[in-house]
Parts: sequence; C-alpha cells; structure tokens
Amino acid sequence: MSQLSQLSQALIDEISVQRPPVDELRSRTRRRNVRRRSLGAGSLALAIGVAIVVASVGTTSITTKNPNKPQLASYFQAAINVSKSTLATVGLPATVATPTRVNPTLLTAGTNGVVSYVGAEYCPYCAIERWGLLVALSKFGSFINLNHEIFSSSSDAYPHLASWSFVGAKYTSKYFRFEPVELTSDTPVSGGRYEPLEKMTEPQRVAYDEFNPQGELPFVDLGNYYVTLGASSSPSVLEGLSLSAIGQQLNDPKSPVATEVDGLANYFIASLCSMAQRDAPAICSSRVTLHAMKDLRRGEGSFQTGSGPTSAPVQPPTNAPLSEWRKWSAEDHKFLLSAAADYRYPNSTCTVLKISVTPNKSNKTVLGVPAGITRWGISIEGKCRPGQN
Amino acid sequence: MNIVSGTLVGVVQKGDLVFVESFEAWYDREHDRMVATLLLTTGNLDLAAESVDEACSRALERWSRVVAMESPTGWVYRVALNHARRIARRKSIEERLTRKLVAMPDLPASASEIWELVRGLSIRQRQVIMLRHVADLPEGQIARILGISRGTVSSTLHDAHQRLGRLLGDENES
Repeated sequence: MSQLSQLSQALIDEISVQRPPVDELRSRTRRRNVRRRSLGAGSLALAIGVAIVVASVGTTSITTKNPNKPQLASYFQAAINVSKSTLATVGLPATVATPTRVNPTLLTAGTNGVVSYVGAEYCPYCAIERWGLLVALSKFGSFINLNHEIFSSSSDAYPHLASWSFVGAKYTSKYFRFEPVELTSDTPVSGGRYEPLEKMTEPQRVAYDEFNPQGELPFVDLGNYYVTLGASSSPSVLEGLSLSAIGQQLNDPKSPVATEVDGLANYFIASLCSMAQRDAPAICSSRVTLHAMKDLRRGEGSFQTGSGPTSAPVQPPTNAPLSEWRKWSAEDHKFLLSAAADYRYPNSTCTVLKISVTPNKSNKTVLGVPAGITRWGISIEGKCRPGQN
Repeated sequence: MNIVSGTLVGVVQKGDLVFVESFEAWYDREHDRMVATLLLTTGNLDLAAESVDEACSRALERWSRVVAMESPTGWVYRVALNHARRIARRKSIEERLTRKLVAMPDLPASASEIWELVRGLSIRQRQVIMLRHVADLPEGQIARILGISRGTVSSTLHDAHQRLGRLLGDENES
C-alpha cells in the first residue's frame, strides 16, 4: 500500500483546511455546553420539534462554521481582506513611521508575547493606527464583535473623523494575544477631558510607563520587540470620508488611504512576524514584509541587539580555580537576566505575572558547583485563564 | 499554573507529577492528518473538517483525561467518526424532507486520486484502510475506535488490500 501512503502524505501536506485556533475550539465547547444546558432545562420535545423544522427548511450545507459569528460590516471585511498584492504595491511609503525597537526588561516580561494597543476614542491619531492594526492583525488571527462606531473629537486636530474602536472586540490568534485598551470615550466631560472607558492591565501599564514615558497616544507595543508612539501615519487621509469610503479605498493601492493604512500595516506585519514563534504565516515571507523587516533592523541603529549572551556559559570542572567559577557565575547571571527578560510563556492563554532571577549559594558542592559560588535560577509566577492549560 | 517544559505540561496524575504532551502540541501535529483521514473516509471535506473540529474541542475540554489514555488520537478519531455519522444521518433526513440533492463538494486535487481508488470499497473497508494507512494506527487501536474485534479489522484490511492491490498493481501488505 506504499502508493496509497505516498498519496495520503501528499494530501496531508497540502490539505487546504484552515486549522481553527485553540480559542475557537474553546468557544465551540462553550456553545455546546450552553446548548446542552438549555436542552436539559427546557422542553425536550419542543427542542426536537424546532430542530426538525430547522432541518426541514434550513441549511442544506454543513459548511457554515461558527454560526453564532455576527457578520462584520463591509468596511471591516475590506480591511480584513486587503490582499497581498495591494500590500506589495503600496510597499513602504516614506510618510509612514517605522516602529522603534525596544529592549524588553525583567519588569516588562508580563507583556512578552502580547500585542498591546492603548488609545482613546476621541483621539484622531488613534483612528489611523487602528486601521493599520486591523489590516495587519487579520493576517495572523481573526476578530469578532468588531462593531463600535465612533467619531474622533470635534475640537482636536483632524476633527470629527469617522472611526471605530476596539471596545467589545475579541481577537484570537495562535501566535499572540491582542489586548486593546481605549482609555476614554469620544464623549467630552468638563475640563476638556473625556469620559473614562477602559483601564490598562497592570503588566500593560508597566510596559506603557517603561516605553512611553511621555504618555503619547496611541501606544502600540508589539510584544516588547517594537513600539509605536503617537500616529505612525497621517490621519489627514481619513478627513471627510465615511467608514464605507475608507473601506473601499483600502484595496486600491493608488488611493491615499491605502498608502497610509496599508503602508503602516506592512510595518506592523513585519513586527508581528518577529513574534510568530513557529509556523509563521506565508505573508511573513512576502517580499514587502522582508523589506519592512530590513527597515526595522536598520531603524534599530544604536539599539544593542544581541547584547545579552544567547547561550548559557559552559560550567567549569569542579576542581577549577575559584576565580574561574566566579567568572562563570557572573556570566550565568548575565545570561539568565537576558533570557528572563525575553521569556514568553509558550501558551498564549497564560500570563507571566512576575519573573525574577534568584541567587542560591551553598556551603557544600552542589551539582558540581563548589561551595561559596552563587548559582542562579529563574523563578516564574503566572496565571492561566480558568480551565486552561 | 501548569509547569511547562517545551511542548510538555506537568500535571498531577494519581498523586505523581508527570509530564504529558500539551493539547496545543498534539493538535498542531495531528490536525491535518485527522482531516485527511476523515476526508478519505467520508469523501466530504466540510464534513471531515467539522467532525475533526468538534472532536478536538471535546478533547480540549477534558484533555487531562484524554492525554492519559493509551491513544488520545484514537479517542479523537472515534469521537470524530461518530460525529460525522450523526451529521451524515441528519443531512440525509434533511435532504429527504426538502427533496434537495446536495452536490458533493469538490475534493482537493491531491485527494481526488485516492478517492477514485477507495470509493469502490465498502464504508467499513474504507474506514479501516484510512485509519491504518493515513492515520497510521495499529490494528488493535482501529478495533477499539470502530468497536469491532481485532480479527475483523485484520480480515477487513486483507479484503481491502486485495481489492486495492488489483487497482494499484501492488504487492499485498498486511
């Protein structure tokens, strides 16, 4: 049956079915449990009757996946479906700012592997940044409940831009978590301020303070690898346009909206590719993404990439001079500090709350390390969402 | 928080800390093979994908128990095949009620060749052949998945090999 096995292997390699993210499997379980509970509580006979009616007049196809998923508005669909060729034609316009490389620290390890967006609904600069994020993030996962339409402030720069916000939206990706926060709504209150809306999580606030000391909005943190502070593109291209009109321009590479939004999305995609630990999507090897990656690296300038050691130092023999052991201990400490700052919990449903490098000194030889020499270890505290591994 | 080491997760089983494969690692590895097996058993890609998704979500819900089984993959195949059977039955009632003929969706190009070979087999023979040669499961597990004896699996495999061997011009293998 070797021919059959070979053909089957080719099929497995080429199978075109999309693997749903694990979060979608969890949603399916929740829906199943809700159905089960309602069946138990309600009238079984009625439920069966309804099911037969539905079966007799209803769908003839079982291909509809996630029937509870509400339909997204056309402009969201347009952003989600911006094609690779449009992204390639738009390329990397000079008007779009390149995200800045940052150095993760032990303090910010709680947002390693997390994409954070901190903005506000009144903020016109956030309007353009959200579009860029939507186009880019859609290449790595999927959104639901994206439906919160807003207008930016009437008294700020670029007044009254038609926009939308991430409030209520959920994003799932097998590569990273996306945690958007809209700090205020677009409703003014006294003193030129706006109604408070959402709060940052504690790890988000730590990263925000660390990488954005001026408190600029929007703030986008791409897993503590890259950040953008303030608008990366000009919101002027959105002026006077309805959401539908913006959506229509997103797939026209010659339009001003596509130039600014898709150009920004290209940089976001390149940054997100650096977060995709395995099975990066095909877009990560597209020509424009590779160019954007090159730009990102060039933008690193004086950033000390690879300043920390990438591998643990080799342990000397137990009878080596103590000076050699002290040197090893110092190098090991340095290595663990750099490894801990970069540490990312392998499961995207769990969060690191605290990570630290801790010393351990013994008055006798332990694991070949002589007495009096400090051994270093990493201690991680974290939590997973209830019921998750 | 579970203790994680690479693709393994530390869980307490019968009072001992043991490292088992994480659901994510298992799912990444097995998903495409399971869809291919179900596709070639049912001849319907949508049905195959839906059944595998349903079975995987059930496995995820009770992963700590499933992973402790002799063959987590075998358990998931069993759930997926049962689910596919239920849907197919419902669909056939629905077609009868609405008197509609639902066209078989196009198979992926790479699947058509195999489907042409195996479509003439009985459903039981196709299930056994796919579980053996696509899912790569031993006969004992196939017997448990399908709820039949090991002897029945062997004889079904033998008959199917005879028939396929003629089509493939291959030597028989057991």
